[in-house]
Amino acid sequence: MTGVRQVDVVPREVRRHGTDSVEITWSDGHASLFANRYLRDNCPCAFCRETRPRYSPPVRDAEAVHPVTISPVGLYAINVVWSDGHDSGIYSFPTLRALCPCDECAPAGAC
Amino acid sequence: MPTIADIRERLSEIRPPGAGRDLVALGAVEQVGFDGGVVSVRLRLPAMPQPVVAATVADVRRAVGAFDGVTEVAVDIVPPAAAQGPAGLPGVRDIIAVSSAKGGVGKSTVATNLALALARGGYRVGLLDADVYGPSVPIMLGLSGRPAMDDNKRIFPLEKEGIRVMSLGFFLDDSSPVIWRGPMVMGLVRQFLQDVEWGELDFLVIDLPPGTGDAQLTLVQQVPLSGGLVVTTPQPVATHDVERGIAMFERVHTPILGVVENMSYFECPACHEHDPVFGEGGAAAIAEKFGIALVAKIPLDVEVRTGGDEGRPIVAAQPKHPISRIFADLATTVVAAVEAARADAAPPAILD
Repeated sequence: MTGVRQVDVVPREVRRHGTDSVEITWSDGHASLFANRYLRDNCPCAFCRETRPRYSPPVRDAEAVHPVTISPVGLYAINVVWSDGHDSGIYSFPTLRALCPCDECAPAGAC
Repeated sequence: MPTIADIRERLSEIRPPGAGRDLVALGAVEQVGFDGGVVSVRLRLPAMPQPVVAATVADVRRAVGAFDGVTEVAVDIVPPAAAQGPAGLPGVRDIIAVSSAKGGVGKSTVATNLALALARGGYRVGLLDADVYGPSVPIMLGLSGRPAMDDNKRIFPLEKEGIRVMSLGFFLDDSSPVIWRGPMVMGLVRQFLQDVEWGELDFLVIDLPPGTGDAQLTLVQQVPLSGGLVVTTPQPVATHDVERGIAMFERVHTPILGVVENMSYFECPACHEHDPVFGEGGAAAIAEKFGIALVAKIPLDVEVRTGGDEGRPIVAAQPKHPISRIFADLATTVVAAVEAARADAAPPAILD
């Protein structure tokens, strides 16, 4: 019926690939593949947002990290409990889509 | 003597009222057995009002019982698989939040009468009064008494007029105001969602606290809402407040089922002219700006107010009153809107 506010593009499936990566299949058919380290490093929680610009520890071999559990938050986000203990990140769907690292969403060469 | 195939074919001739398709096409026939004259049928029906379920069972008994050699027809109804994903409330199919940007617009009146109208439509309905700042649902329904708690700390809702009700108001000993701080509100809301024994419900209507704050955010994070209704009054100056409420729902991807304009106008009992006592056009402007439907306009009526004050809401006290009809229409609209929003509203499947 007209007038029902539809939501934006949402994930249909969130799939863990071993301990390497997480793949999201979106409602518009798009697919995003996130390396775990990338997703962890872009945690949107308030603590991470505050500390990241101010403090970047020297990276030699970035500690391998993987999602222990992934759960829906309401109808708009997912929460990830990471193997390093960090669990306060609520990744909203628009945030996840904006983080998509594929060539279509983030063309190589863009800064 | 019929074969199983014969019985299945007979079942394919039965169409539950309002379902639009027969039992086989609906995928509702889980199992058919025939042994010693007794036919056993197990049906998993999609969620539908109880009277429709009963009528369908009666049709099945009659149709299958007509075969030669059938002495008894045992029909087993399996409840529909919960439509909610892992974050949902088990046993509760759809959760609808009723919000307003500020107090005094009649949100609790709308939530209560909507719940009653849905129940009169045959659905199993719960009403959660989450308005911790002013829990008025007990007064509106004339309900009092402390809800029972069992050994497992499950809290049992009170029942009235065919709906199951839970409210902070049942736990307040006197009328002194409780000053609620954020974490207390969140804990309370969580408890009301998780520890209340709602049983099987088609709809849980939640009367939210007015505004956009901790309680609302906790709610939308705790459970996937099938939809939200925004209640407002006609003044254009109220528009700004409502925009905040809509923005909140949009931020958390809750489908907005519509805007309800309360205290829309006063109908003169003598000349039947409509007097827009609280202004005009506010709700329509919001609806247009956000592309949301204006789903109901409820006029000012002394009977609605007195009904609420005296504990007999209009839908229960005077089901034939024109305003009760407005609520009945609103219930129908809400049911359809929830269905329309359902596809996009499911949480993602989390897989390995």
